Amino acid sequence: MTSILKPPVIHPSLPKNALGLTRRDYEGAMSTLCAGCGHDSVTAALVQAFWELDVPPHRAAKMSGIGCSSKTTAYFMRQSHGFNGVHGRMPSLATGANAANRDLVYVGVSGDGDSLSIGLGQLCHAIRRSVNLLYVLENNGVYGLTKGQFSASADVGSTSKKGEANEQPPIDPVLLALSLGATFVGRSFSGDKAQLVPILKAALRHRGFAFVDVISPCVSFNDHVGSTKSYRYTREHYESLAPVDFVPVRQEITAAQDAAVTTVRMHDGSLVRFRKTDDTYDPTDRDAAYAHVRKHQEVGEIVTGLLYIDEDARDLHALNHTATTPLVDLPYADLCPGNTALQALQDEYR
Amino acid sequence: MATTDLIIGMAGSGGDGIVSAGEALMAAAAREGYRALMTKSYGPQIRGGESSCRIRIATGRLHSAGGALDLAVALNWDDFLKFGAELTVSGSTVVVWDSASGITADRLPLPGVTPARALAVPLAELTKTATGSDKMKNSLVLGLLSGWLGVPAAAILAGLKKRFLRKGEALWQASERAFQAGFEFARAEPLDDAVRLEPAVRPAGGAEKLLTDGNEMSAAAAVFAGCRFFGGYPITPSSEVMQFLTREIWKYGGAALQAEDEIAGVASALGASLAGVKAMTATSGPGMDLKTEVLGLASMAEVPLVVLNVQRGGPSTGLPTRAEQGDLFQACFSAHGDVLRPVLAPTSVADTFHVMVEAFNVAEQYQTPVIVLSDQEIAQRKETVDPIDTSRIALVERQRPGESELQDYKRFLDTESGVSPMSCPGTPGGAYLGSGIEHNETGAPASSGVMHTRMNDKRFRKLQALRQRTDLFSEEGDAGAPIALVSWGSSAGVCREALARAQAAGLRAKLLVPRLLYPVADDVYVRFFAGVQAGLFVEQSYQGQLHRLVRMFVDLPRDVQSFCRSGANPFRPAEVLERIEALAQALQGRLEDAQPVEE
Ligand SMILES: Cc1ncc(C[n+]2csc(CCOP(=O)(O)OP(=O)(O)O)c2C)c(N)n1
Ligand code: SF4
Ligand SMILES: [Mg+2]
Repeated sequence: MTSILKPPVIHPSLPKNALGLTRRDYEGAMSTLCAGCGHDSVTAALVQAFWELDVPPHRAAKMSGIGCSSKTTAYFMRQSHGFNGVHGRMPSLATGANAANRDLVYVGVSGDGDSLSIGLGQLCHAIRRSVNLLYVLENNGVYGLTKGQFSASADVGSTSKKGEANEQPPIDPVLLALSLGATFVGRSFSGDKAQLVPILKAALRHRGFAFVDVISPCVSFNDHVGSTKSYRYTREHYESLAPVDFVPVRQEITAAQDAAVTTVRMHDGSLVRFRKTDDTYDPTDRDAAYAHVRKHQEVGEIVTGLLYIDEDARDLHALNHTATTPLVDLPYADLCPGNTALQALQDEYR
Repeated sequence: MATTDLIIGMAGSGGDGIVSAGEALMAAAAREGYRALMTKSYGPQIRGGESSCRIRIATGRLHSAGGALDLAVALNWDDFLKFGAELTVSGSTVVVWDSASGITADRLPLPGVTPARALAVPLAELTKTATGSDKMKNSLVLGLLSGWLGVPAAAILAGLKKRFLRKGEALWQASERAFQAGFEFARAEPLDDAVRLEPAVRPAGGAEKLLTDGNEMSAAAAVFAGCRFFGGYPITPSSEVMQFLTREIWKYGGAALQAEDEIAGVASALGASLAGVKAMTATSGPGMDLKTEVLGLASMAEVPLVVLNVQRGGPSTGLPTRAEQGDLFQACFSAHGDVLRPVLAPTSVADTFHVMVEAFNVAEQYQTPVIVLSDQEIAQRKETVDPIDTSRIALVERQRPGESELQDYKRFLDTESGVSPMSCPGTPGGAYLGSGIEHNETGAPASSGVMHTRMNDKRFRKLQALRQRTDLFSEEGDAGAPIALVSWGSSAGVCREALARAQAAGLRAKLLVPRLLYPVADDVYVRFFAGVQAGLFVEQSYQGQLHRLVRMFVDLPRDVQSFCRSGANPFRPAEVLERIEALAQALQGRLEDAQPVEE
């Protein structure tokens, strides 16, 4: 498939990326979400990440399910292909698309209802299959679109807008992803773009399933006192782990070696650098990551940052030995076995 | 005179290897140029337990498993009797059993039936004398059958050698000795001509028949049609499709996914198709239930997708290993909202190939999900099939946008045909936001009644051309006949045989076999029923679903009735013939009543 870009729109005053595109070129339709919704900030971070990584918009595919969060694929990268599936089934749609065309950059956007209730099984199996995908879970503890029912990520004791308390223990998506073997696990906050953008960039470059849980408050149904997914609560209980820098491969690495920095080299040569705030934390140790999140959770703290990364892991294609050429690009004549191959198949039945 | 068409039924317990004996007989018969068809049935145990097979061998074409047995072999009566529905013994059946059972010819456990001949054979004893143990009873039975039926010993032995030599020289020799003992017994104790086959015409080398089943045919057809992705979840009786493709599709530049459930199976296939490749899933009843939501999505987002439903008895877990034609309403109507999606059905193993290829063509041409309704009988029965001539099959691919359309790309452009060029992700200028939400021509959400009406109209309009596809129907028999049958799926073959017999008896009748079930091609039915005075829709569902479906769209003559019953009760040609005869008699009676009475 040829990659001819549309002539970029000229905004003389705006900075351009290596493709000559401005951030505006990575935006989408006007958001129809509530003013102040955390999801819009995540959208802005995605725009920034894709723009900074110079991803040609037509080479990206945006997948989602159903929910306010899932609607956001319309609000970034209007020149990219998008597909809103059905509630909770984005992971399998993305798996199939990935199998058919391995060369696109896939981003899946989901919500806590979409991912942790109706689509929990799908999420688990996408992790298990290591689908090459950036999976963003916009986590607000409620079903926003259906007007504020508790979701499976609501904390015990968190109250609804009307004051009822949630009694059931939450499913923590980060612990889930860690225990299921996800090879890239991060958590951030929609209000912390400085932390979120580099995590998204690293996740986009990760080969395999990159899971990013983003606390993304719902201003209409879950931003009151008593909610543990409000802006205020999140800011007050925010425990930022080692801030990360993402250094793309083409950038010359000038920074001097620094003992306070851990570097993970990604499969394409890009670097993720962790500036350590906690000397004992090792982002390549799954068990340590799990224990760390649990320890802080017990004292009511939300650990954020790039929590775990395994760059040696094999993705869906490596696990299945898929052809290196995307199936969709194989010429039809090569693909269709035609009569000769059919005869060979038939021979087996004689 | 020897016969040209013979049905053998055999049963034994798990270790007897009666089904593999049946397979060996069938393979040898096929090599000799006979047509053969085999169905197997097992007890409820997953492994071990009783098993049975029915093999029909003929010199001419076969359309169904037929009726009562001509030759019954009971290694063990208890096991045999568990298959009463499959292994029907009549007054013209020759019955053979192991004399070691102690049962004598005058005390056969067949209430109300006196077989044409009853012959106790010391099966175990003969095997023991020949081989030192009674393990190889199935090889002995093959020797008996070779001697009695006239299927050449060399052909059967060649198959046995291939199978046993792999496991060691000693086993092969034991098998051969048991076979010879059976063969000699049969020579010394011949049966009458009714169970002796006319010799077949051996095919010239290379043109040998294939021995395959409907599930394998579906999978091979998918590969041939250019299917590049399969997503599914195991379920009886469709699992073989997945197993075949998981093994084979990689060789042809495809990929297969054993998903976590049927929803993920169909959704991953939809995702693959969306990304630009032909894709399918296969399942049965309970899996079909789960796929409903994604099927609606495929209709709304106009994504080509083939969904094969190998029907079993239902609802719920129902009858996992038995055929039923009860999923037609579900195939047509399981969706909220107004949806039209094509439903096709094959009538035999060979037909499955063509119907599956057609399903991919329809899916691609009209950018729609297509449901193929196979059933357990067609899917799992083994049959001789002529090598498939693919030179006349054209393959269709979805319409893609050209340069000019990409200038201002509208994914859901409301064209005259209703079909809009579909771009695939990665195409510069071809991006759009697909979704299950109602949309305008660009794909942007739109919830006005005006737009919803327009888009419904587009989605229905594009499929109307299918109603003119007369090639998806076959009409057989006497075109001007007053008696008409309609039958689909595995029941159609039974009707074909009944029709041939009716015609041979001088009755004027005809048969319509639709491969396209939905949308209902009303013109085809109207034309077919013009001048018809009485008729039957023959199908294996309690409600008679096709009969009801067709009547939603077509006014049928009053005397066209439904001949239907629940699954797991396959029709036999003789009973359909009886119905035709009854109709003919009634018509005759009516005719006589209408004559002026002579004073
Ligand atoms: C099968 C099905 N059941 C229910 C719904 C209704 N529904 C739409 S979105 C949603 C929950 C969304 O919650 P979440 O994923 O957390 O997204 P948010 O709106 O909070 O961002 C529900 C229950 C649906 N669309 N489909
Ligand atoms: S309801 Fe909540 S989640 Fe939905 S858009 Fe409004 S603020 Fe965002
Ligand atoms: Mg939510």
